[in-house]
Amino acid sequence: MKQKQFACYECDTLITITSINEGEVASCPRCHHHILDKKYDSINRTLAISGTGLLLFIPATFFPLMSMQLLSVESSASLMSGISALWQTELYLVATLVFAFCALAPLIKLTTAFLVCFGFKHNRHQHPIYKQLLLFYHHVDSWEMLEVFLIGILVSIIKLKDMADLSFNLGLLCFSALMLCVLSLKITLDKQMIWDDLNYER
Amino acid sequence: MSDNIKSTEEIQTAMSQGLAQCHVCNLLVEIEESKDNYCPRCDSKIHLRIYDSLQRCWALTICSLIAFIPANAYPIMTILYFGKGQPDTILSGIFLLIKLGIYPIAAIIFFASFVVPLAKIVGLFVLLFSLRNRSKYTKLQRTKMYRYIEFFGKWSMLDVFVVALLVALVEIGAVVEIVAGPGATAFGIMVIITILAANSFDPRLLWDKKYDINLSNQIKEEK
Repeated sequence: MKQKQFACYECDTLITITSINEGEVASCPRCHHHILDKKYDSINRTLAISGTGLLLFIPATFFPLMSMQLLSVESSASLMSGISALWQTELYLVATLVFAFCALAPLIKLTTAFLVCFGFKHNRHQHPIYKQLLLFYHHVDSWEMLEVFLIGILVSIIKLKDMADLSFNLGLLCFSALMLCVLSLKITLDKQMIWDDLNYER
Repeated sequence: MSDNIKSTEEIQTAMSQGLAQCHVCNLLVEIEESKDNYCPRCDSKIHLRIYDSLQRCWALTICSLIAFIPANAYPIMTILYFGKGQPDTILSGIFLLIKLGIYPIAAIIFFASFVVPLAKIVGLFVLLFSLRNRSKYTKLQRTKMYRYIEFFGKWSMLDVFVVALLVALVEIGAVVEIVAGPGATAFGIMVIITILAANSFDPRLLWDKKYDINLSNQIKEEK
């Protein structure tokens, strides 16, 4: 571990962390904000999870999540058909937001995490492109809303339950798995370790 | 855990040592007051405190309060049975759900779309006012409050996502049709503004001593 001194991001307290073991969390003595942790087997786990997420991405966004049958008319909805339906009803902003939060942001997170960990595993991560990728990851991090969308699916299911016959499709399974993959990036990806390993000169 | 952390009896802040932590890569960097500072490791700009944090946060919080009105006043969607139907705003949709007896969903939507955004806006106002006057809440309580505001921020998008799905699902067929309303746009804008407002608030200001705030203002003026 190269960096010893940290400042709490929420209350600016300076603390010295001499050593931290895998699975441990260091928190601020003054405001209890989570400052640093070290993750188990971060690179391999992140590679596996982001790879799985990338494989799931296409079925999760394009396969129908659920379908509805009403008086012999059947219709189904996927994430992308929802976005295009919003676009056709001229709600361009809402369509863009849903696309950015539920498709673009998770895709960027998975891709950058995968590429960075792949580069790290093969010791090629000193290339400046990895710095850009990590920055990219940082910027979309707080805008990803897959779990909110999943609750949205549940709410729509219950809202429509009495109106028509609903059935669930493969897309819903893929989508839930994709959400779990994106959420577990938070648990497995050790950004601090990767940053510490990047060379820098002033 | 606590064995590995050594903190001196008197807590020292990074600012008092002329240091600031990079928000992106957590590197602790010495700040030179007279010029812009960039992180040597990730090249992002480093600030002692978020630049113009209070002004930005006041402006965005007031904006989100204003955006809250159209978001709740305009219909978010219309359900048409055989071509007839009434547009529903978020609140009237909740009342409809209560009338139909679907209490859990009514509660989820009420919390996600009404209570959370309102609580966020009120909470930000409380935090902002507490920096101007003496507050009855401790610094720790206010920091926790800020943490909740940040954490629950994105859940208010819930209703917009529900509309997106319903519009796609009930698109065809002349019997039932669901049309999205202008409220969805207003709602999306409001959610974005509240997230930006929460991001622009710098919780370190809560812990700064009065003279520290003046110091950072001085640095700003010198720029």
